Amino acid sequence: MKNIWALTSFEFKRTLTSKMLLVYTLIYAAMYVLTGVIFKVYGAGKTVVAGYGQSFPVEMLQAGITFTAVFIAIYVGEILIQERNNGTIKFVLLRSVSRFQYYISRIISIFLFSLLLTTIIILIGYVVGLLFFDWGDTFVFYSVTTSGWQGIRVTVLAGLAFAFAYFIFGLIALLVSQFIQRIATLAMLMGLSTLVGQYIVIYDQIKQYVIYEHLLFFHINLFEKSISYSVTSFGVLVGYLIVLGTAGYFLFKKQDLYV
Amino acid sequence: MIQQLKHDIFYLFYNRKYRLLILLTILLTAGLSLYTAVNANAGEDILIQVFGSFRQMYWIICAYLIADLLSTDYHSQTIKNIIPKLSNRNHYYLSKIIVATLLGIVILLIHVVTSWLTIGSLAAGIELNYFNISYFLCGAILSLLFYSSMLAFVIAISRKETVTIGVALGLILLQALMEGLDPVVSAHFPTMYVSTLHDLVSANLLTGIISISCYLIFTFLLFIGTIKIFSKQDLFT
Repeated sequence: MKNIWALTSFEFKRTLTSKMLLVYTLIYAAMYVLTGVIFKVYGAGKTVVAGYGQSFPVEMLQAGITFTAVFIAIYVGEILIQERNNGTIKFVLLRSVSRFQYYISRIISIFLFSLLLTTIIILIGYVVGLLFFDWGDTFVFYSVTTSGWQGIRVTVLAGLAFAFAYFIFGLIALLVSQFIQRIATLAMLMGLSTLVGQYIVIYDQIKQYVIYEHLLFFHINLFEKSISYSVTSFGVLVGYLIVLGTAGYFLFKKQDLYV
Repeated sequence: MIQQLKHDIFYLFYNRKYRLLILLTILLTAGLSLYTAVNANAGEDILIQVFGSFRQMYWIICAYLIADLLSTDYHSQTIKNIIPKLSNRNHYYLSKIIVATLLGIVILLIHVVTSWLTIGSLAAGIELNYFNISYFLCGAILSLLFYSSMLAFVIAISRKETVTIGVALGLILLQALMEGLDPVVSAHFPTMYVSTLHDLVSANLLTGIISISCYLIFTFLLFIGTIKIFSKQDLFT
């Protein structure tokens, strides 16, 4: 447990000070500011937002599906592919760290990164929302209309659901990364998969079992669909977590890391 | 310079992932052509519509191949082995930018041929519309040169593969979000330039010339900036 904690906290601290996180923040900020400018210039019809600062962060979550997917994939590449390519994975595994502990630390790191990225996105959303629209009287998010702390609570809940869906997507990236040598390749493949995967969402019978549906709608369906639907979606994601985590670990366990 | 160009071309030629990229282009184009033929009533403009659906994927593929080509020596730490073989450090990035642009054009041509073949075999006898091919290629060359120079600048500053691919894909997606809003502005975006250059020039020649000049000037400035930074970098440690 101590090893897992040490590895995870090291990764998290490294992430907090990385150039990459700054690039992500700048790109999200640019996207949000442009949305604000477009709303002001062309009106509400051209954007997905209603024009209230308090609901701006949660409304914008869905807009960044491919961005977030690519950034998660790059992060996964950084914590696994880069370590393998640089040979630094050997330094860790030569100590009293088992492959299981190492792999669990990567999974936890992806989870923390998803939470961190979502927190950054929401905070940028609040800053840009306040700058362009003020706080506003009402919080509007699909059928949810409220205000004040209740709106913040909905935003936090939607943010957690959003982060969880992307964490699962990160686990897919972690599994795929074991067959790929370059971070750029992983990022491109995972980014492309979101563009192609969105076509699957048109098939009603299977969409609830497809990760791309949850990347787009899990945080929205939480408020729009019945509890049983949300519980099933959550169950599907937990199923992904168990299958991907186990399959990924067994692949990692068998990998030749001695060359 | 020739040596570096040969090196980069051989890198593309012998690297399996570039062959897979070409296969991916063919499969995506064929899939999108079939999907459009079955689900959309596009008539004579079906090929233009197929390109419209493929354009975002094309730019993601291009962003990847440019970032990959530019960052390969940083990734494998072979830049120290390459630089002493060049008479001038400037040739390193010049060669990468030229080869990335050429590969982007090849992928575009593969898409054009595949979509023509797929739609042509499905809708034999129908006269199909397409872009003016000379403007189409000119737009592709200008936008790819600009994008390659910009990413060369990014990697020269950051010297990190992850930052380069993050910026490359991030900017493509940012343009994708913005391009549907105001056609007058988005017509000048690199991701739109392939299909809009002809309209820009035919609608107003002066606007077209200014737009092309801006592309050339910014590409040149970014390249100069890149080689200025690169020539002073300590690559020996």
